[in-house]
Amino acid sequence: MSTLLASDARISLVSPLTSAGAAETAARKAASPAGASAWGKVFEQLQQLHQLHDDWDGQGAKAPEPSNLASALAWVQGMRLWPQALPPDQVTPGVAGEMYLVWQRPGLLLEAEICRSDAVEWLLTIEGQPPRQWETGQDILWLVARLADDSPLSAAPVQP
Amino acid sequence: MNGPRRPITADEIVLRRIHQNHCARDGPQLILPAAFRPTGDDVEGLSVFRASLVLAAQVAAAGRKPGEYFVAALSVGALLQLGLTVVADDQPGDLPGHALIPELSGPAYQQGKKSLKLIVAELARIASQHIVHRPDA
Repeated sequence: MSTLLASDARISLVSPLTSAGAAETAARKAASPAGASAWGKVFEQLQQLHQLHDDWDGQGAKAPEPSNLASALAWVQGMRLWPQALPPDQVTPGVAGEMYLVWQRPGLLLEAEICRSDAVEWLLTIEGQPPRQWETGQDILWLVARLADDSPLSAAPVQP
Repeated sequence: MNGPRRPITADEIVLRRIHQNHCARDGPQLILPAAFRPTGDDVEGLSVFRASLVLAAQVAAAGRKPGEYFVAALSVGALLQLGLTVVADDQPGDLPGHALIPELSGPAYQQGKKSLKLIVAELARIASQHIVHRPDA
C-alpha cells in the first residue's frame, strides 16, 4: 500500500493490491442495504445525466459526453465493489460535456472531474488551506475512503 | 456589446445565476465550482448582473429554465482580490445591469484551466455564503 498525499490534508492516496478472492469478499460486504442504497443513488444520478441535452441549464451548457458518462459509470461500478469506498455524495454535470463526482464533509470538498478518457482531474479544497489539484490515470481504480474512523476522507487507488 | 465596457467599482455587488444542478443536495457547501465554469456561450466573459440595477428574482426568472436557478451575490471587491474584473455589458433586450467577468470567458478558461479552476473553486465557496434567491422562492 502506498500513500501519495500527506495526512495533514486529511486525504491520502493508497494503492492496496488485492487478489480476486478479496475482491469477491469486498463485493459481498459492499452489498449491505445502506451501502447499496447510497450507491444506488449514484447510479440513478448517472442515469439522469443521460437525459440532459445541449443547453440543459439554459445558459449554454453542453450535454454530457457519452464517453465521459461511460468512464464515470465504469469507475463507479469498480469503486462499488470495495467496502471501504465512500460513494460520491453527488454526480454533477459540467458545462462542457464533462462531469464531476463530488464528496463533501464540513470544511472539505473533493471533486473528481471526468473530462477525458485517460485521466481524472482532482480538486481538493479544505477550509483555511490553498486548494490542491492533481491528476490520476484511468488505468488504475481509485477509491475515496476513510483512512480511519475519525478521518473524513481518503482517496485510494486499487490495482486489482 | 452596447457601448464601451466600463469597469465596475469594488463597492458594487453582482448577482450570478446558478442552475440547481450545480448546487449540492446535502453537502455543507451549497454551490459547486461548476457553477462558475464558463459555457460555450460565455465567449467574452462569465455573465453576472449588477445588484444595484436588477433584483435577484428577476435574474432567476429571466433564465431560459425559470424555476431552476439559485442566485448568489458576490462583492466586486472580492472578485478583484481574486484577480478578476467586472465590466458593464448592457445588452438590448436583456435585463438591465448585465456585466461580464472577462477573465472567465470560455476561451480563457480553456487556456488557463489549471489556474482558473482554483479561482472558480474559491468563487463557489464565497457564493455559497451569499445565496439571495432559491428556486422555490
